[in-house]
Amino acid sequence: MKRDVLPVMLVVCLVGGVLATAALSLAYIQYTRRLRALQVEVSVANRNLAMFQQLGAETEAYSKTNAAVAPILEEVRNNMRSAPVQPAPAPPK
Amino acid sequence: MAASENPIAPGPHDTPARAVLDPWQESYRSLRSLLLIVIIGVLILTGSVFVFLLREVSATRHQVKELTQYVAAYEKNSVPVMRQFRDKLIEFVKANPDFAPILSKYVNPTNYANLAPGANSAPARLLDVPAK
Repeated sequence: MKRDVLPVMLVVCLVGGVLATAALSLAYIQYTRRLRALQVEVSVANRNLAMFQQLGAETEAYSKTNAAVAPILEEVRNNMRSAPVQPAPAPPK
Repeated sequence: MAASENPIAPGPHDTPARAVLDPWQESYRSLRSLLLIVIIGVLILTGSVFVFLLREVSATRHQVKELTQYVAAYEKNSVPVMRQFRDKLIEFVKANPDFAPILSKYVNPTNYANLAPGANSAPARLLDVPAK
């Protein structure tokens, strides 16, 4: 009887481990999907921010020839000071 | 009772039977040992995969949290500023058409030609400023 306890215990451990690993795999798949969607959003955000900064630079260059655009730039600068544009997080490994 | 009359006691007659049973018992024992070894091996493998997945899930969850915060901050802080800047420039270009070539690099001219200021439709090139 004693000899049968060890295999049963091992099999129970194995079944538990396999179930836990399966559950963890599902969680990993879900997190990975969410991460991919977020990476797309972040790349779009980074592209928009780059374009925004480029547009700002060109508008600033234009403001040297036409000062009428200066108040708009000043307003945007004030807004950016109150809500700074953050750098993008490092890309995941 | 004599030893030859006792059915349980080993006698000279059961030596061939033991000789037949012994290889089966030996095979059973070795099969059992092999099964135990296989179960232990699979258990170690499952444990390793579990630990690997646990680390991956932890790292992925951390990244998801970080990117979610970044996207939320972007939508809360940057998008309104960009949208306001775009709308002001669209308004500005109506009075100063010489600025149109610069703006048209970033905002599709067909979009801002008939756009009411403050409208939320995203221009084609400043693509994905999401409308709230």
